[in-house]
Amino acid sequence: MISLNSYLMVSAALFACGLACILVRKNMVQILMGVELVLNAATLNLVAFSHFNHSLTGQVVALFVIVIAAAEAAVALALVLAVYRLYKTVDITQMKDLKG
Amino acid sequence: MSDTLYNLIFLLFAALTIGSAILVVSLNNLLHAAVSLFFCLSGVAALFVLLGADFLGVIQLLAYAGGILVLIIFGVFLTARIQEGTEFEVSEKKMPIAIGSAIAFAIFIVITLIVSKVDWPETTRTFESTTKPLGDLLLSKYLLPFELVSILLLFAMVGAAIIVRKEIGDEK
Repeated sequence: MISLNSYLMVSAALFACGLACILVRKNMVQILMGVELVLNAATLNLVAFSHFNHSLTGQVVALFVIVIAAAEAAVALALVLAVYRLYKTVDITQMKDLKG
Repeated sequence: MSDTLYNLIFLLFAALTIGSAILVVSLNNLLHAAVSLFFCLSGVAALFVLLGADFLGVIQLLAYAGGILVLIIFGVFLTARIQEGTEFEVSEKKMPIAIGSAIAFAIFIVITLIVSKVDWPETTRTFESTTKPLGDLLLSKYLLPFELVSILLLFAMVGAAIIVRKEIGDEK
C-alpha cells in the first residue's frame, strides 16, 4: 500500500510548503526556513528513489545535498546578519535599492 | 515488521512532517516557526529510517536538526527587533498571500498528478545497514565529490567569517 508514490507525495507537499514560505513571508530568516524545507523535499525524493531502485547512489547524493545545505545556511545567515547591521531591519520588502 | 504496522508508522510520521511544515509557513511568531521546523526535520529523519537509510537518518538529525536549525535560531535571536511594536510578518495586503499560496498549491497538485501517472518499475526492497557500503562508496567511487565538498565547507566557513566581520571604525 505504501509505495514510491506516497513518499513522492510527501516530498511534493514539503516542496509546496517551502515554496509558499519563500513567496509569502517578509522576514529573511523565515525565508531561509523555506529554503531548508525545499532542500529537505529534494533529499527525501533522492532517498526514496534510492530505496525503491535498490541502489546507493541516491543516498550518497543526498549526503552531499545535506552538506551543501549546511554550507549555504551558514553563508546565508552571515549575509542576513550583515544586512541587519547595515539596514537595521530584516524586512525583505525594505530592500529596494540596488546601490549600497 | 508487518505491513500494516509499517503503513501506520509511515502515516504517523508523514502527518507530523507535513503538519509542522504547514505550521512553519503559517505561524507568525518566528521562534514558534523554528520549533515546528525542528519537528519537520525530525519527521524527515524518521522517514529516512523507514526507507532503510539508517546512516542518513542519523546524519539528518545531527547536521540539520542539530546544526542548521541552531544556526537559524541564532539568526532569529540576533535579528530580533525590539524597538518597534507589533508588525505583521506577512505582506499586509491579502493578494500576495493568496497568489503565493495558490502557486504553491498548484505546483503540489501538478507534481502529484504527474507522479501518479508514471509506471514505476517494481523492485525488491531490502533493509540492510548502509554505513559500511556508504563509506566504501565515498572513498572509492565518489572520492572526487567528497574532497570537493570538504573544500566547499572550508570556503563557506572563511566566507561567512569575513562577511560578518566588523570593520575597524564600525563601532559607533
